[in-house]
Amino acid sequence: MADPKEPAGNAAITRLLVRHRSRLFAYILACVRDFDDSEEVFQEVAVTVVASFEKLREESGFLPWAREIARRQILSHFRKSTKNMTYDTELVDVLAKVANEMDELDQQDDRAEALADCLSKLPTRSRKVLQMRYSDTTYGVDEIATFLGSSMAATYGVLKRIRMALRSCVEKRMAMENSP
Amino acid sequence: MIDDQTYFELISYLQDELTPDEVARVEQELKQDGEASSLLLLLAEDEARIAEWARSQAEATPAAQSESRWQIIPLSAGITTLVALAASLLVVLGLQLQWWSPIDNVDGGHVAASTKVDPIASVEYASTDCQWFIENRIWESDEHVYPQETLHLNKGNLDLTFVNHTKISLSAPAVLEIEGPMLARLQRGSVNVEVGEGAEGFEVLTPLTRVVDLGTRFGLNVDDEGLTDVVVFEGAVVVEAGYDDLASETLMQRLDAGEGVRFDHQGTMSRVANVAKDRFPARHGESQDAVALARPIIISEVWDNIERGDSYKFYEIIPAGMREDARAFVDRVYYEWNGVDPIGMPSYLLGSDYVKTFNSDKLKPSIVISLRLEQPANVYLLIDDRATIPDWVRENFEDTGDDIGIDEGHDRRSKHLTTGVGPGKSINSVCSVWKRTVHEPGVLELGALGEEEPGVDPWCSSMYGIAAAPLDE
Repeated sequence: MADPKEPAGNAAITRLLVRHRSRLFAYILACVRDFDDSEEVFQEVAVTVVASFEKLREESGFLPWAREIARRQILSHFRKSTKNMTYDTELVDVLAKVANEMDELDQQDDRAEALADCLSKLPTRSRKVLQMRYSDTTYGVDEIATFLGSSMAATYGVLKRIRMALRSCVEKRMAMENSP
Repeated sequence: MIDDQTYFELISYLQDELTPDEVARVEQELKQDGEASSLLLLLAEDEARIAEWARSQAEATPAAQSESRWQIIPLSAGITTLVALAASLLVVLGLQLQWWSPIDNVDGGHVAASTKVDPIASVEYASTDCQWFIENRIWESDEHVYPQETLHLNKGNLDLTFVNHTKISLSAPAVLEIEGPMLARLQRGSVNVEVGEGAEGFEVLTPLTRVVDLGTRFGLNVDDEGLTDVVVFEGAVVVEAGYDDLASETLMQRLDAGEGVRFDHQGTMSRVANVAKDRFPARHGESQDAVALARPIIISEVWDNIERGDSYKFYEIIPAGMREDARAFVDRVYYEWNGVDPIGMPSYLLGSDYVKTFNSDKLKPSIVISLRLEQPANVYLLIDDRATIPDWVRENFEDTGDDIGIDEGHDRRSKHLTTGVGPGKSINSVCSVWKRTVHEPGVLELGALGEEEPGVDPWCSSMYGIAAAPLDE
């Protein structure tokens, strides 16, 4: 595989990491269930990928290879974690296997496109709520409730309905894409 | 198929909002159910993408707007960190950073730097008093609109032509957000939308509705309270109401040419009974100055006594609009009023207010059409010579002895008919002009065209037309 010490090799690493960032990050997030921790693990994975890139035989095998690095980093993260959480290491293996199988179906790009389209079509208020919930300056449900002028319970309901609307929209879009 | 409960439980699992017992149960299910594990991974990817999108939205606030027309889409925080880490590692390894060049491709919606954004629509003035601006726009002189821009029209009328040939005409005051070549949001005001060929599916969102074009020309009006009127002049649209009310089911309604509906905040749909032409901007290319009236309108309102069930058809009132080739009926796209010979239609009809009626109402024996007249006027009925003249017409109107023609244009059942331009061309049927002078403003009631008669094919005639001209003309 390309030598990371060569410019061409460096470009290849960047391209592959950028291209597969979402799937790698999704796998880490599904196991770790915390955005900040997932970012941290992902960074460690990136460093390891760069350092050991010459061991990769073919670019086509990048994703399962990088995911295996991620799997080990996740387990390492679990061992080091001081959080009062239970971690199921067996599930980390199961999810890696399922993720590798999903790579072969290669439907995630279509889904990402559908999601982007559906996000753009959300009503203004829903977009604002999602933005508050997910952007860097994350607002708590109580602050979103103040913004909406409603109760916490109602706000959870609103968030749920937005996700429901997104789910429905994405599924419709995907069905349309796949229809003959 | 994953049910809603499991779906949201998986989202809660990702967001670490479950109790330890619930976590244990979900993890057990995930290990046993491949479909659930697949969905968890997809949802995790969705979560990451929504967060990425939310960050990009936050970065697109006014303070972060680019000061050039080259819109800079920032690298995501994660990617920046990643590249920085990789770079620092390479520095440690004694490598040069020559490979770190701007990434110019978009992958999964993540990355694009220094990407030029092309304009999405051009702006043309449709009235001489037009005043408009683009929110957060830096380059004032550029008469184009770019994606994600919001156009404010404070005065006058404006035409937008999209790159896909869709045309939107606006009347002040109006606020229109341009999301992309196929999507706009009308926050306030009136627009006339004419969708270009190949751009079917163009959507306009309002605070209460989502209007999806099926190949058409339609008008939208959002008043200050958010009430939304949707009227279809040609073709058809699908309207989804209540999509912004996340607490209720959405309501889908197809509207065809000649149909208009008002949506309120309770999600109620009601028929827009009549549409005056000046309620919506002039059609693209028609100068609003040219259609501005030099006199007060005569017919301000039209309604009838017909229970139309699920029908939302409206009467279209065209102030000072009678002319050669004027559209005759709301439900017959190609029918036009024309003089029966090259001399043209009777001069007193030219420039009169007229009403596009429903051609299909010719078969309704109990219809009563009410006109609200704002000033004394000569009211004209244009009655198909193939129809029997009803008694109420003979008793209240006088036959002027003049005629006007209908050019029925293209008929899908017959390829031999074509629309002519100007008087005396391609006239398919002749109507007599009946007149009544009304000396006081008020409501004038008109009756039915007539009963069906044995041996007479009612489909052979058309519904009568209505026009009104000021007495002093």
